[in-house]
Amino acid sequence: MNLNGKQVTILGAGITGLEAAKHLAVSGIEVVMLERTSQPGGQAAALSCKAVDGCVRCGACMVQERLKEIMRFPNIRIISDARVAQIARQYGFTITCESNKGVSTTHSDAVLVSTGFQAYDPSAKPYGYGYIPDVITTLEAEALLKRHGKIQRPSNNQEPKSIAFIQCVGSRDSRLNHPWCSKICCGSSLRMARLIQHRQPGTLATFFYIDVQTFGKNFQHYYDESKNTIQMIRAIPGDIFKTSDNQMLAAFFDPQTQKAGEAVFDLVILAVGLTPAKENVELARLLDFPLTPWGFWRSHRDGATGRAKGIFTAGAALGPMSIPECIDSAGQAAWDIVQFLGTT
Amino acid sequence: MTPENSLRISIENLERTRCAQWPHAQDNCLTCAMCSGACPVAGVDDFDPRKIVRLISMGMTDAAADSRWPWICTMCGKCEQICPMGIEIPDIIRRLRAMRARDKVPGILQDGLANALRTGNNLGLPKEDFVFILEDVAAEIAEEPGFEEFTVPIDKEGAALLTTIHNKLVNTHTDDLKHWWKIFHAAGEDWTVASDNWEGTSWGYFTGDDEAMRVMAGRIVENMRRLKIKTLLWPE
Repeated sequence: MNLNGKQVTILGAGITGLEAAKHLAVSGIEVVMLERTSQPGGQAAALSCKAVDGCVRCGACMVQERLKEIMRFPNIRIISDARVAQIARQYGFTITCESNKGVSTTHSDAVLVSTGFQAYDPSAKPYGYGYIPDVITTLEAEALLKRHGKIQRPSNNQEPKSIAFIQCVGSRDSRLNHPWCSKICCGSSLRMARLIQHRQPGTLATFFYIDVQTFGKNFQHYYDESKNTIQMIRAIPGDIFKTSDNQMLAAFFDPQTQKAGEAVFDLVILAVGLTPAKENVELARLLDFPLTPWGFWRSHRDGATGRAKGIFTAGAALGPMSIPECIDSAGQAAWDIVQFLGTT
Repeated sequence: MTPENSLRISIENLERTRCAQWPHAQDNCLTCAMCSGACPVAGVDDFDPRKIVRLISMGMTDAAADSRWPWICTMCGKCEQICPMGIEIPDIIRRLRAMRARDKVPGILQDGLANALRTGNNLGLPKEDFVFILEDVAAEIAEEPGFEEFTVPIDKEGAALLTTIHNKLVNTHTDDLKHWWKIFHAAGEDWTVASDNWEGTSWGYFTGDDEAMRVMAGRIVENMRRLKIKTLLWPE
């Protein structure tokens, strides 16, 4: 199969796009990656390794590995701060893209959509996000861990003695038209809680949940161990107030005691859901490719014919996925692209 | 709501099933317990809105209706505001209340409702006492600087706005009348209060008694017709 001279444009240089780019470049394909932000790596690049005594398979290191790997391919070009302005369809795809280096046009035989997800903005939930500084999202907690190695309270830069982890914020929510489970949050919150307890011994962690989503083959073992150090409460708080002592009082109903509970925390970390990227609608229009009713991308494997031919989709753009799932999805899409290019 | 509009939606012909939300959205419940976390009376006699929703979802409506729980709820509606699945929990509670035989409704509500149907207000307060209290409060306001001209307009025909009164405002909380009234005065509002059937608190609504609710709402509409008023402020 001679793929020399074939060109593929990848929209989004996160973990999915990087993984696919590597596979395509190995096959001799010219790859152009258009990245919306200022650098490749995507949202997974902001995550910290969660190893405590050993690897806990969080996947955070996989982004850095792939960023290093793609450096050695001269046939991968990344345009950052890019915005797709126009897509013309004639013998492939002619994509006009605006970036701070000006307007550029690339021609490609296939397009891979790997635009990832957008974290839910929890301002509308009754947790004071946006006006209580110590109520933060998991991604903001990740940024703190990355920057300081430890978790700190944004209000005073001190280490919190007690942390509440609230699950399903913006997921499993039909009011928002987000009926899906975001899949990764239970695992990432538990791993984060245990990392913090390891680095900051004595930190109390409380995990408010509906159901715990399983993750990985060692889930049962990991979960059982987590319960030794993390307080599990099977209820989502209905209110959070800031106390006069600059703490957060969470109101919840404890199903164990059948009593209305109130607990005070130094930091609240909201496990915000994975939602469709806001650019999806415009991009889908430019590509003339249908989105799901929820606004995620459909898989190209769902019978892509006609004008959808040559368009491939992968990763969290399809719906909530973990880092390993994104890598798997990217590999499948790269294989499908190679097959497609080999037969056209 | 204007009297003409009220004719068009024909309150007299309101179907019992129209406001009913039964049985559906309760089956969407994921038992997240945000309702219970937000509920101001959760835990009172083990009351748990999440469990009510589950009882209904499982078809155990009789057990729920026979329990004290539906009567612990204050109908504040916080649970419905917060529910991620959009389950209308106060509607469920009201349906459960409606399932009770009327003589099994908590006594204070029975008495208040009987008073309201008989006299036009939950307290059974005679008209002359009501008017005396309103004029007394108005006289107190008129003693405050800037409100020297203040009087309370009772049964003013052709006023722009009719207001209802919560019975506690002419009983234990008369001072709370003043805030509204001062705002009306400062805004130059053309408002009035009816001397009969002024009660805004509908325990027909609260106890799930559609017929009583219809009678009480109908009386307010009748006041609007009698006084030729187009706009109603019904804060209760």
